[in-house]
Amino acid sequence: MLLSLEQVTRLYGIVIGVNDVTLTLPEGAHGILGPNGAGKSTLLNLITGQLRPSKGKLTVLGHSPRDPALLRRLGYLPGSEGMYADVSAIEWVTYLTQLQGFRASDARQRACRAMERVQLADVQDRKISTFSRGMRQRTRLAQAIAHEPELLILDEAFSGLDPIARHTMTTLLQQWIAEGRSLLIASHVLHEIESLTRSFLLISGGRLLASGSTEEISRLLTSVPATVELTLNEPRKLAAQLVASGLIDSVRVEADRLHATTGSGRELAQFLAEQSVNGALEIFEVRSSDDSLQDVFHSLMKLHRGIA
Amino acid sequence: MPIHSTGYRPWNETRVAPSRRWLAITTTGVQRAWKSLWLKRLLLAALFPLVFFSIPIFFFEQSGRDPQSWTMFERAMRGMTRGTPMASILDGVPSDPTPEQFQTVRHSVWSFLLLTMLRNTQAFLMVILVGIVAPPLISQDLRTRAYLIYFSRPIDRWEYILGKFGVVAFFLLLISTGPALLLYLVGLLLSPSLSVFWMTWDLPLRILVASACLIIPTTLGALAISSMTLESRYAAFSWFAIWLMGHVAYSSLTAIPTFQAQSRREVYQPGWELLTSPYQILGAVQSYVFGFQQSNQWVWPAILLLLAITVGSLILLFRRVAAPMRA
Repeated sequence: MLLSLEQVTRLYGIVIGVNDVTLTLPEGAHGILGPNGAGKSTLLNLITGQLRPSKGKLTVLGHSPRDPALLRRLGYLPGSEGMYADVSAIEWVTYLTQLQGFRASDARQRACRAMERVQLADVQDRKISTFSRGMRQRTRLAQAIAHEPELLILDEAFSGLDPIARHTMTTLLQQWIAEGRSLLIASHVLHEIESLTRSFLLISGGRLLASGSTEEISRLLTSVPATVELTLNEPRKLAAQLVASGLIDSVRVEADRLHATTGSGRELAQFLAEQSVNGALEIFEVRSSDDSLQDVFHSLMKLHRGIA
Repeated sequence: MPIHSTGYRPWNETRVAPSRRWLAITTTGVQRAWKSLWLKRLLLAALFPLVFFSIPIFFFEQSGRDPQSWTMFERAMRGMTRGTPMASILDGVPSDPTPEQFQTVRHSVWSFLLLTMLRNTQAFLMVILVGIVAPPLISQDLRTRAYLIYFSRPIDRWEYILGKFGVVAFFLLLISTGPALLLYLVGLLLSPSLSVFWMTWDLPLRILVASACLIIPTTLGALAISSMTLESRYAAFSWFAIWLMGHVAYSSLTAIPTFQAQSRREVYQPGWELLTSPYQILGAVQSYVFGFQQSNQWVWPAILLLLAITVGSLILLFRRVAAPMRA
């Protein structure tokens, strides 16, 4: 078992960082998704033992989080910088590998290998202060993988990377997963994680909203109300038909636009396609405003609160 | 054909003992600090007092063979100790001392010179050195949140603190203990026979104890200040402010009594006032370690104060370093 959380709660004074999370994860790659301030970093800090839960119990790879035996098996890339700008990249990675208990020469060897892996071997002797953001991020990844951990934990690993650097990072992590190692990656951007894993944890407001594969989460979301915006030739006529069909919860017409809220997205899409094919309506544009991750979370939050 | 697993295999080799991991923090900290040009200049400057204090030792050892040199040395020594509690070192020694009398006074003279070097020049350099090296050591890690990376490794808080302590202690050893031990060695080499060692064997130990009295509380205090802010410059400012304010407070409190005592041709022995200045507190304790100020009733409160600073700084450091981990 990779991770087991039992009613884990973390309080910062009166603010709840993580709220009563219970979950178990098998070994493999998992993505933690959530908007900013959702509690992703708090959850990762609980897993790496940086924070202690105010309540509940968690184990990682069968160990308690501050167990040195576990920390040797973890590689962690926190969301914050945490680098010394006045040293070379190789010195920094070697230093942090030494803290894993390797002798200086072994640590240097491993650091060189890690720098090669993140494709920074040719610039490894340059000071970190001269690095671009993408290079810094890859150096930080190098320190997390230099000791060949079993579980790699990444917090916003793609943050600030340009498309090329993102591709490099994605390829690297895909190789990592293909080698049979475990990965926990937190992000607030869905497509960053989609290319790495099909297993997601959705958290918001410190609560675990949903967990499962992309398909499972999509299926779950079809039962959550969504807002659809249409631009067409006869919005009032379509509004009447939609009300009569019972597919929508509410409807509003503005000039040539129609705004509808529905809990049956799939059926509504089918109905509109039929109307369009029959030639009864000319639909120029269909837009769902609920396509952002933020809205997905919003919908899930409403579901949790029993509003939906 | 056998099918081999190419999946993940954990590393099962032995690692260095956890008790030695703090050394990696110290070594890297020393290497980083070493890049400062000012630090290198300061370390070089710390060697000049060694040369300076070797001169009186030379003349002292020379005067053992030459009575005329003794007169010159005695005059110079009385000038150096005038107005200090050590003014009576040469009292009772005749102008033409016998070899036995000379041997007896050697211990006191060497102690005085070693203490004067540690107190006057090296302590001043220590304040500057710690002000350069210590402030960023913890505050930078807190500001950049590097502690998240540190503590995702199998190291404990005490290893982290010990590692950072080692950085400052290393440089303090270089500027205080090192030159003092070298001065002692110079004294041995300038003395008529190496058998002098058997009469002064306790001095290296006194140097080590006096250095510990200097290094432990000052380093922990400086690290505690560093841990209290995210800005290294605030930590540096606070460090220098503490020493400066202490000196101003002590000087203000003792200026008039010292003047009055001097007008009566007496030496003013400061009382509780010395507890207002970190420099005077360290001085009183180091003097005690070298066998001076044995009768000063304020030495023990000074020792207790240093202990309190040490323990208080340690508690603060542990709390600050553990702050992110506290439930």
